[in-house]
Amino acid sequence: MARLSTWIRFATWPLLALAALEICARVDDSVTYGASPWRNYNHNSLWVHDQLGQRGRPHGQYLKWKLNGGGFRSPEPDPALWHVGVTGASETFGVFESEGQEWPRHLERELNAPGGGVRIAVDNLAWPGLLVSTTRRHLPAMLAYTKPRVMVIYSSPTAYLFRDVAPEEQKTVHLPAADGVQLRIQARVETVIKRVMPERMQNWLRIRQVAKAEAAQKEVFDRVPERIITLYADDLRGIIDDLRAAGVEPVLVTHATLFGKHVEDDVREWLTLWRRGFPMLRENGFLDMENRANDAMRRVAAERGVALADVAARMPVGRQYFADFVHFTDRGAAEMARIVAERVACLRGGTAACLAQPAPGKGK
Amino acid sequence: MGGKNLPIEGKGTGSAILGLRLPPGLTPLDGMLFNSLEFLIFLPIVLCVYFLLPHRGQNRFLLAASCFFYAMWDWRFLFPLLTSTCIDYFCAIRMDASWARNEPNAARKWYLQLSLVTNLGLLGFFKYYNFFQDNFRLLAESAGWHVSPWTLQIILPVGISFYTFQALSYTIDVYRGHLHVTNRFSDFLLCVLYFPHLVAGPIQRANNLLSQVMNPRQVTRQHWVDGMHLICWGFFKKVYVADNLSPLVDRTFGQTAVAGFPAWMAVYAFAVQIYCDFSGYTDIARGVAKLMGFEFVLNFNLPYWATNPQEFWTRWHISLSTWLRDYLYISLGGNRGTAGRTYRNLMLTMIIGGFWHGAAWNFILWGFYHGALLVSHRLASPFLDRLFSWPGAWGEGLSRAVRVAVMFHLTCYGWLLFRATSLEQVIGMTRSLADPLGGYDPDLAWRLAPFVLPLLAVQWVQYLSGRLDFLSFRWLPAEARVVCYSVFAYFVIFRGGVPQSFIYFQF
Repeated sequence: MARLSTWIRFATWPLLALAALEICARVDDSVTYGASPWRNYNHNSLWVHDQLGQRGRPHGQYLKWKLNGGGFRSPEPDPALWHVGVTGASETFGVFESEGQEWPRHLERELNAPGGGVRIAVDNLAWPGLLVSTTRRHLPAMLAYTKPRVMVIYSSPTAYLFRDVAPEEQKTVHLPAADGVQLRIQARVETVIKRVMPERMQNWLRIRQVAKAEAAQKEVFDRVPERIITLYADDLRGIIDDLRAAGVEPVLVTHATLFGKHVEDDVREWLTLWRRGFPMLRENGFLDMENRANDAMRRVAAERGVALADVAARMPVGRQYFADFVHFTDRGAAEMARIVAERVACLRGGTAACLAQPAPGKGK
Repeated sequence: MGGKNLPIEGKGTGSAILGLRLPPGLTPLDGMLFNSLEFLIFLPIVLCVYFLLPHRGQNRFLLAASCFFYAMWDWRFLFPLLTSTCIDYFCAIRMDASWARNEPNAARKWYLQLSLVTNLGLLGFFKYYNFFQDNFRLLAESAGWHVSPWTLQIILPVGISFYTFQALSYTIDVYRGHLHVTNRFSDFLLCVLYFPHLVAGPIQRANNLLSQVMNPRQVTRQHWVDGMHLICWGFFKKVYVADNLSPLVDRTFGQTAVAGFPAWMAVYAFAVQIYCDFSGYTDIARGVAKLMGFEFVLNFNLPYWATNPQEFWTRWHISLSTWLRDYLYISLGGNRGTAGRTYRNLMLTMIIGGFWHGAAWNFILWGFYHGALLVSHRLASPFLDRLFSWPGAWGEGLSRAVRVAVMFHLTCYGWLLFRATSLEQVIGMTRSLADPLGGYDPDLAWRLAPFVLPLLAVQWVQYLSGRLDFLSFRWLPAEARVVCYSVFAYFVIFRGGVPQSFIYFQF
């Protein structure tokens, strides 16, 4: 009997340890981020779903991500300032950058550099997985909230792989289930394991996941079908028209990746990681898709007389600029902002004058 | 001048996230820090094998494991270490034989000199060659001579400063007749090479460690309770406190001009960082040794609660300060001569102690500063004793608090000299410190608070209770201890800063 009670006592230790760790995690979130220790705390804190689909929750907050009253990751808009809106997906919303280092914030600092004249506010109107088509749905709300003079569009063509499959379905961030008690320590443990696990083993696991996901696909492309690129170009034309109709001048920005023009061996594993989110396209199809989508954007810009920042051609490549396949590091975000700022700054002199100037870096 | 220019002993940093220094993929290991994944794999394996073996087998196995541990930094570093150890062993044997034959001191002196020349020669070559050569070149150029000295790319063997002092203590003790030699070379080698203290101390005197190596060790449950407590607390100090303060300190000391308030915060932060970094390492080393039944000397005893410079050096890096006292200060004459000679001996000891930390002028300046503090305290102590003898229990407590605060700030200024990257920075930051409210930013203080306050709270209890092992929670039931250790684990695993090398690895 005594032996049994000793064993029962020992068995309570892991439970006590788990409870202590969970309480620590909840107190930590509460002290660090002001999160309620009683409710679940996850990405859901950032989003609401309405008839337009998913959008930012006004004053939503999760970890380092804080949204303003309009549900955008920006300070509250100041009507006294000249506003530049920036829309796009997670690359623009900001994922890996330190707080305040996402590229729209860098862009604001670039545009307000000494000698820049009128004070400019840059509004980050992006969120993860946002397509150009979805942006068009949210555009009236975005324009009403921030009243921008210029709108910079940095769109990722990748999410169009989902749009092609189900046109009305938008690929969004994966949200954990909202119901039920979630252990906060679980996510932390997973993060630590992922970081401690050697890179090669992680890549092996990714390859297995991709193979499994590929098996579940109806169709797997070696190359993105032309119809997806056409859809993308049509959406770009549509948003340009919408913006101009609202009196806002668009600026298109080509999409940059970690790989640049070729995939070097030392970063090939990132292609596998990218593919994990989009198993319907084989690895070699990604760069082809990026190149064709960027070409389509260049054609649309020329056709509609829109200023174009060719970041894809000018952005340096490598791990110091990209935290993964497309998301920026602090340094990458600064570089991105510098390239975009050159184009946005010239719009102050009027679109025609700006377009008459040769694009910076062209011919290099 | 400046610690930034120091050649770092060992090599490699690897990718580092969340309290663990990770191997990039499965590439060969480069150095085995206590806060690395490699060490967390290495230690359990060592412990499992260790407890399966008899005493002699344990020693042989620990020797092999220590060689492996050291070779993880760079196997070439084993050669200077083994060379000096062989010579020390040989010299000690001959000196002991000389004692047995009752020969005069002169017969032993030659062997002591051989040991000193070998150890200090290796230390001088690896650690100080480039420093002297650079300064010689600068001096010659200032006199208008052009010299092209022989430049060497020297990699400093990790832990050379520590094992040199450990080995020297053996030969000096044998020379003085305080210690009998061991006839088993492997025992002496294990004494020097034993991995927990090998790279950053605490400096283990042979008279403490050798008997533990030679005799079978009893490992009790209490050893494990105390050892685990030391390891947990050491990791907390290193990973949670020191590594989280490191970016703030680096940022401020990386600036050319700093306002008064941020300068104060950076100096405070560095004082806490260097203490937690070094004492954290020491605690882990002591804890690991305890798990195998070894007892290491206490190296830190609440140093920032000292009331004067003399007391500070009985609490800070105790194994070094007692080494310097016993083998340098006393050899120089100690306080046996006139007051003037005593002050000279103190200054010399502290300057050499500063220089031991690194081949740079700021360490010499730091040593000089502490020497000056010790001398000033000796001169002023009659006056200070009168000044601070306040009546009553409250008066005594308040007087002690004031003296602790003053000594802490004097120590902090010393850390500025230690951490500064140039003489201009020392001067600039000294000016800034004179305006403590310049650039006042309460956010900065709030950012330090989560790391400093838990440490302060624990030390407050340790200080009042006089029990450094307070955090072993022996007074709590086992279930409560599980909870307390889980809280520690949370901070270490999930709230640790980006891992940094241990600061004292460069010394």
